[in-house]
Amino acid sequence: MQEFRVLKILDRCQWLFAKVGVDYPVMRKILQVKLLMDRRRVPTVLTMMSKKKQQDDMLTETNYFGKSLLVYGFIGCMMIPFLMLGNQPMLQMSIIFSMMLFMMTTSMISDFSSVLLDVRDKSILSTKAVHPRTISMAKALHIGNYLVIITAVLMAPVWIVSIIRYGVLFGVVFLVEIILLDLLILVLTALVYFGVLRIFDGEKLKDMINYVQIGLSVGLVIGYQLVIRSFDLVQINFNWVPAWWNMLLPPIWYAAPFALLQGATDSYLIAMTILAICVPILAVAVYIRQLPKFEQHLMKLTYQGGDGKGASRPGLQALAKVLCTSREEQAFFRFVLRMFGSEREFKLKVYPSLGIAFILPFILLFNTLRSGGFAEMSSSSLYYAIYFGLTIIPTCIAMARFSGRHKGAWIYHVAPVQDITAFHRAVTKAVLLRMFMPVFLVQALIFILLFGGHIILDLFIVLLNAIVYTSLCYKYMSKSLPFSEPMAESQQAAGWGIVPYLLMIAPFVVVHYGSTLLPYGPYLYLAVLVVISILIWTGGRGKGRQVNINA
Amino acid sequence: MNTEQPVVSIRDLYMAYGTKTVLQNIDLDVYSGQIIGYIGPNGAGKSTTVKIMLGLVTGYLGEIQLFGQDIANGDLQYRNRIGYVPEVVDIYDNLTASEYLTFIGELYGMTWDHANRKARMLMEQFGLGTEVYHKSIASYSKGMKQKVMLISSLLHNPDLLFLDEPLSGLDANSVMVVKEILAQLAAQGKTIFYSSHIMDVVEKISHRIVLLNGGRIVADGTFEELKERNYEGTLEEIFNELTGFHEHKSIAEDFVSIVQEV
Repeated sequence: MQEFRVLKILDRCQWLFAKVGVDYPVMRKILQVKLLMDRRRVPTVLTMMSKKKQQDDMLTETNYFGKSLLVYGFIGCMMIPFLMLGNQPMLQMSIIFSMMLFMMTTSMISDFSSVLLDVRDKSILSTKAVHPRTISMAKALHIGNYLVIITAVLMAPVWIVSIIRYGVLFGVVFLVEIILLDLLILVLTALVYFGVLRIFDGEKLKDMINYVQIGLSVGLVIGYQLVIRSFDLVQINFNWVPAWWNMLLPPIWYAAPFALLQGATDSYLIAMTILAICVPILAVAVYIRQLPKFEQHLMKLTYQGGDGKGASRPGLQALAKVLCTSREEQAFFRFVLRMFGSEREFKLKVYPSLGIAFILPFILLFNTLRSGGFAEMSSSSLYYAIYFGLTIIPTCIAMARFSGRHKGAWIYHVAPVQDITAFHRAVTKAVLLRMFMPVFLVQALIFILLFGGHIILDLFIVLLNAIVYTSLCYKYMSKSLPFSEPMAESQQAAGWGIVPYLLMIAPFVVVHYGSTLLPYGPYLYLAVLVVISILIWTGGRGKGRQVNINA
Repeated sequence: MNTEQPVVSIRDLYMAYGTKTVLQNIDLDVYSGQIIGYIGPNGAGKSTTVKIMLGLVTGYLGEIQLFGQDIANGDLQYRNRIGYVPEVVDIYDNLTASEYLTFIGELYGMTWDHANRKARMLMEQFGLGTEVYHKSIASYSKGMKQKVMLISSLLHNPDLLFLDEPLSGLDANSVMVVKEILAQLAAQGKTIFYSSHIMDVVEKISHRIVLLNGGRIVADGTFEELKERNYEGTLEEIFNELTGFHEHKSIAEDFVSIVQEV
């Protein structure tokens, strides 16, 4: 089996583990197997794509983790301006530690939940004569390993710059604080899991992890925007005055020692420094004592939470009847909607882009607002920014082919489905209704408030354009049946593959804008769009290909 | 009547999940060389009993001794003498069989070489050659995975085996092999807890049948003894009788009539 560098490092501290009652050789074994499996997680699935690769199955172990580290490194570099600009350690360091807290907590919850919550451990490891303490230690080190690597990549740029700029003492304090905050994050994550598991069942937890992952992606986009504006923010002459409520914010605790370094002496600052040191240590102590209880609650994960929601929702039935013509199409439509709502992996891949598509137009507006002011913005044509919302559509359509349960797709081939195009139409309708419409409606409402009622006509044009655009996307994208391909293959499909489709939005914007230059242009354009949409919506009976997939 | 020490000794076992009682008044002594058919309807508490003995579930009342040692006393060494095949195939399937089985062997305190040699030979006996041995378990068929599970439970030569549907997914020939293996292991003095819903198999291979219903033992004895007491012909019928299930005909009739409704 493969040797890992971490294990070699740990070998040197064997005596330490023996001292706390951990069976080191066994723990090393467990850790080795876990690391090996992590390395394989993505590649083994990738090899399913090409038969050729399958041969050297075990040799192709591309490190996907390495790639994701680049992102962390990049974000780490974005912290540097906060450190360089301004001379207010409290504010600057608070921002840096907030970023670290956010990045680390979300990545712990989203990416490493599989490490914390592997239920197979229970029946494989706990039935052997391995002391629970040894298993817990292996788990802790497994996560710790990633925690250290990610922290190193994330914080190294700022740390190095801090030494150059503020000297070695600053650097040492910074390093110690990073370690303390890491401990706090580790325990915090575990406590979040613990809390959720206590109150809810495993399904809820999986949902929650899902939402955290979505939140992380959206948070990154907003965070990036914040950094662009950081230069102004830091240079604002903002004078930090300690207040009691600062005690509630851990990132501020960690900024306090730097103010002390500068010679400030404030009882608040001293109190915060004490908190910064004591809280993580206390938290770890509590965590270690509570760990066995935590493991007990993990058992819940194996129970499939059965909250039997009503078998049929009348609203859904009625909606399907209005939007779909044939009974087959109605059935497909309901099915696709249900799948969109319940497939966690699908949500994970799609919802972040929903969030980003929602926020992008507003970020654009925000930029103008800062430079020009509200009056200027609301009289401008910036409401075209709402077209960014359309970026959801190709992503959703591209992803609809994939499913974590793709093997269930045999049912399409067994069922006597006459008109396969009905299925495709159902997918486009479901994407529009379930994914696009909620985002669009909220955006439209806010836009009307910002720009005034005169944009309502334009918003209708946007909506109809979205319908036409959806069908165009669908026409040129892969014709695979929905939910019929393994989710693991979606990596490239949803990546660069959709860029051409994103570019296709531009002509719609141009034609839309062009129509406003002509007298009655928008009304004519709207009328044309209505006709086209109706044709698409009903599937153009005549042209509909009658494909019998049983053939 | 039996002077030797029981391998498994359960006294007044009681277990509840929250307010729901899953096991009560369980008393059981099992001696070496026995194959126990441990049966009961879904939710009767079979797997809970097994999980308690394995240490997977805690919080029970009563006393459980395995090999004469109380499992609650904190010494985990007894687990080295137990083999376990769970009903759900919980397996690190992105490992190869070679990696997985040697790992399991090492957890049971074997050396890597010994575990590897034994695992390879056992795999071969099941018709899984070297090439398969070095392939990722995720690519295996259900039967192949089940064979790996069986090997992983036997690798360390345990004295007590807990098998939950061990034949699931195996083809008829492999089923014969495994049944014979179990019989021979029992003849060597191993104790086997065999849980299954397939009554024919249980009837044939078990020396003793323990029937659980609603968290209680409702029957305990050899198949012949159960037959005498219940005037029924097969274990399946005894099972129906003792679990109070008589409606199979009327349910089937209703079912078919619903099927025929267009």
